[in-house]
Amino acid sequence: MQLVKKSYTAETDENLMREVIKGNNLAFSEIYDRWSKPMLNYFYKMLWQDREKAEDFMQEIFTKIIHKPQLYNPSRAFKTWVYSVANNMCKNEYRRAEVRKGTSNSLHDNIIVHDSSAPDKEHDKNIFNDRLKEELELLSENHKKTFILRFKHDLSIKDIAEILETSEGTVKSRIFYTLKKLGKNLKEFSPVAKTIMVGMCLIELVQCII
Amino acid sequence: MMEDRNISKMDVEFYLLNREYDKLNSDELAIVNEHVESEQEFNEMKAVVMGAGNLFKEEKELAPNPAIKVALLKEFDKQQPAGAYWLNGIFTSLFPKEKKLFQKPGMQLIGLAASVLLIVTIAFNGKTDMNNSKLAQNKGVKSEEETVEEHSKLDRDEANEEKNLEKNDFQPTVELIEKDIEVATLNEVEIEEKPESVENKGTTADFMYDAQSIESVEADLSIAADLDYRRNDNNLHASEESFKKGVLKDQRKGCYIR
Repeated sequence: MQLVKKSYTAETDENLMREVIKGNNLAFSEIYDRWSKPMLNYFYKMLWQDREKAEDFMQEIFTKIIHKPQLYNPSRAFKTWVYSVANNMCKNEYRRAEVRKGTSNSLHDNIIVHDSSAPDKEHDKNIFNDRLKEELELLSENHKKTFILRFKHDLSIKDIAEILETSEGTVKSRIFYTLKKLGKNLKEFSPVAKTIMVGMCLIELVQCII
Repeated sequence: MMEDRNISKMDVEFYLLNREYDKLNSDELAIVNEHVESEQEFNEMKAVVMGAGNLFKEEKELAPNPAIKVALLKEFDKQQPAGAYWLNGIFTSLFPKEKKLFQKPGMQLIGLAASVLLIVTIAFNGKTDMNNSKLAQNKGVKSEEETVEEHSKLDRDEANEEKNLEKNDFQPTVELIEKDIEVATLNEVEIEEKPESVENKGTTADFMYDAQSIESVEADLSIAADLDYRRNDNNLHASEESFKKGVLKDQRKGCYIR
């Protein structure tokens, strides 16, 4: 099979896109296999954890690649290009959501229902994760995007700046602001807070014994 | 993860991920304190960074519905007519845009085909056009018939040469003999005439003449003897030469036979 069909697994995204522009469906299939999952999860995180919406958006981005592959400039990194397209799609969706919000008050409430799905309160870690998810949802779109691109998709400051069409300084400042805000809101999970809480519990226990 | 994100040591994030606040040295502390107000704030931020990393790692990633891929591939095939890719692929591989004209495989193939065509045309069609006056002809090359004719001519020439040689071998001796005989006869005639004159005249002058004539006769006789000697010598040489030539001819013939 290898003799008949060329394997594209070792090819870079940029080379694959060159092939896609030429009309190679195997290259397109490879690109889809590589990027469908990250795109789906990005849209899921950015679009109020709505799986259906995320899948629609993911399909839309690949449809764009099929119909207008020439929009991609092979001299640019595919990773940043695809995230910037996804980011623009999210921006448009936020605008549409704002318009809808004016007509319907219950839109976001319905979508964010997934956010609090079955949290396991038995472990601190799970509690922290749930709280973090909640806090992330409360962040502004730009701060949330920056945070997700940085900590979920492991992108560099430079790439994030390119995707969000902003400066690296702005990206750094957004990350720092988000960390500070989340840290403040989740301070009960910080190691110091934990030791203080443990200490307070111990004092209470001693007082009870006495 | 740290390498993927390209975290600089000038970023607080680096220290949040890798250091405890109380283990920071003075330089590191100076960098951290530019952004963080207190140890507590540092620890709160550290908890978020570590927690977010764990959250996203552990979080179950959504997998796309396989039907989406099928639908997209169908869409892709609709967009690209069947076979177009392969034609495009062939064309682009033969004439890549990024290469120079003479470096394009297509151009190289065309050049190769043209040179092969030229060679074939010259090699095979050249023979049929040998009589074409417009083309340069190599007259130095002879056909087999011509070479056979030449060989037969050579044989004939050799045969003639042999004959001539045979003739030449004997001719000089015959001439010499004839000349010698002439000389000898002339001398004899002279000798014969002189006694007649002696008998008729009988004077001292005649005697003297006779004496001279005797001397001349003697001289003539010695000349004749010399001539005889030379003649014999010549005959000997001629026979030797003819013998040698005969041997050479035999040798040549032997070569041809081989």
